[in-house]
Amino acid sequence: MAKSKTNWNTLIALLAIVVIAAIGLLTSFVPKTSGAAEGLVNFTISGALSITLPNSIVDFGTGYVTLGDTYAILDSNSTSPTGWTSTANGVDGWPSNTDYIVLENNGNVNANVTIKANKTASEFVGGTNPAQWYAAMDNEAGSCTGDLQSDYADLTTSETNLCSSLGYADSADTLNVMFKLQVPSDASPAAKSNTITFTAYQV
Amino acid sequence: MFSKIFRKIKFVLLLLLSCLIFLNLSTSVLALGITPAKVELPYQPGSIHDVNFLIINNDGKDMAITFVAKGELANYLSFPNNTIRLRNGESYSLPVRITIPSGLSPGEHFAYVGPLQVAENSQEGISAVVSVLAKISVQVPYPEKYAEVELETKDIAIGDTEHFKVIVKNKGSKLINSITGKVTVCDSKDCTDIQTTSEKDLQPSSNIELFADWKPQKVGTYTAKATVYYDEKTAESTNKTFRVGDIDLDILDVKPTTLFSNEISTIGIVVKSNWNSPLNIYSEINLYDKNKLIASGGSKPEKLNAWETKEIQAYLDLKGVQPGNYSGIVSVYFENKTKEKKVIFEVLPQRAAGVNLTFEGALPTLLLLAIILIIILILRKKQRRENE
Repeated sequence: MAKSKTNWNTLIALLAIVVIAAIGLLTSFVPKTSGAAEGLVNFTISGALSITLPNSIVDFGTGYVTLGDTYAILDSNSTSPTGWTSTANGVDGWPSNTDYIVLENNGNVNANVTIKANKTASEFVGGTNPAQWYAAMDNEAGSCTGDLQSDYADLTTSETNLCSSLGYADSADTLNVMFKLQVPSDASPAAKSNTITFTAYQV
Repeated sequence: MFSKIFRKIKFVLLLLLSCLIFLNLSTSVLALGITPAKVELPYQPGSIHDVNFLIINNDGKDMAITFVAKGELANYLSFPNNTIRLRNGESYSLPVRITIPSGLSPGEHFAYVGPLQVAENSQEGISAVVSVLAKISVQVPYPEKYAEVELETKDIAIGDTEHFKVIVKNKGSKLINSITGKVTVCDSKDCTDIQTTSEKDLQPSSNIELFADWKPQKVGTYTAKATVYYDEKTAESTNKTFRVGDIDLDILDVKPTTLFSNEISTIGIVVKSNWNSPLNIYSEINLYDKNKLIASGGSKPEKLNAWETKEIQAYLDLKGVQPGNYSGIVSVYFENKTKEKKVIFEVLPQRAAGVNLTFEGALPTLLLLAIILIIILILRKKQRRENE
């Protein structure tokens, strides 16, 4: 008797959870509406500026400047580094795979997007004559309808242009951002990190 | 008997529950946002305006944010300068006060304000944070007659009419008596002028719309610019680009083209839509040895969004296909049309047997199984205790 009661209790609890989860799921798909059955439907869509980073890391993994070379070139848009001996791939597989930071405009207004680093090349990479560059390309065709920095440019600690007008249509609102580093052979061995800030402005 | 039935029902419910949890997770939107994205304020020197911006964290994780202001009028803004922690799904109302300074020259002056994500865990390599800044705009009227022009265009289909909308804004302090204009449309070779409608009596700080219709004769990408004539003055819009599409797509790439004998190969077909509405597409791959069909496969039906470039997955069964080079035809079907691409496939000898378990594909399934297993174990333990 007691066992049967416990089973019923468990069943009721599970049913309740399933119903709640199902309601949660359905409400996430169905547009939220309110109001009476008849009358004027009047609403205003507010402009929203919103940016997301589906992939927020470029990881060049672990390695060293090939002996005899004065520097190495690590390009996240290329699977053929120059003067670099890789001992472990990055989290997204570089250098076996290309690796990008992916930036998406999921608001409802065009965005002017800039980029800056929190460290200079000397602070980030170190050694003699280090350098860091960035560039971007459409992840979805027609995403950047303004000035796109498609060639590698110096990555500095000041804001510079990435895309002067990034669209918001679902099929054309995403950029791939790539990075290139010049790593001198005398750069000190250490785990190195640099943080990039993407700033989006209402156009 | 009853116990068995209960156990079965429990299992089905648990399975259903687990599926629902996963679906709920997969529908979330991930972002840091601010709304409204733009606020326009009148130019009244010394006046004070309070504006509340809503900051939204839908990034799938908690984040620390601080607030920043930039631009010419940034020094005239006041807002909280602390760092706050915004949980996933939470929003925060950011109060901003702006005191309009005196002595601004005619034209638009602005400041930007919004959240800056604080980098919390220093990630090896290059990691990123975002900042989204709303625009606060103050328009100082010009003393003379002065208008600014915006042109609105839309991507259309061949056979449709492009309805150009020209928005004329009186940014001066005087009435504009008469307004007319033209839209100049250019392709890579030629330009055409289209006359707009005319309007009269545009008050200061007001807008008015002119219209022009144009029916394109061929598909392609065009640029357009509006020129407006008002009271013996002229104003131009910036160039706008728009597309005229056809129900068509291009097969950009097929990869890989090196396959292995006796395998079901996954082949990516990169397609690009040239149409301004979604297309329902599917593909077929046929492999020929001297005009004799030796293998075939294809993909499931999929939706290709307007102007989208997308890789669709097709499958080709190479059971019994000997190593060698073969000609293949990749066909993509859409709206009673077909696009084909000829590809040479190289089939290599059969690979050694092995399990290729990709982490990305296996993770959701493993998590699902783990959740089901844990819940079943808990229930079984509970039942055993009751039996004892």
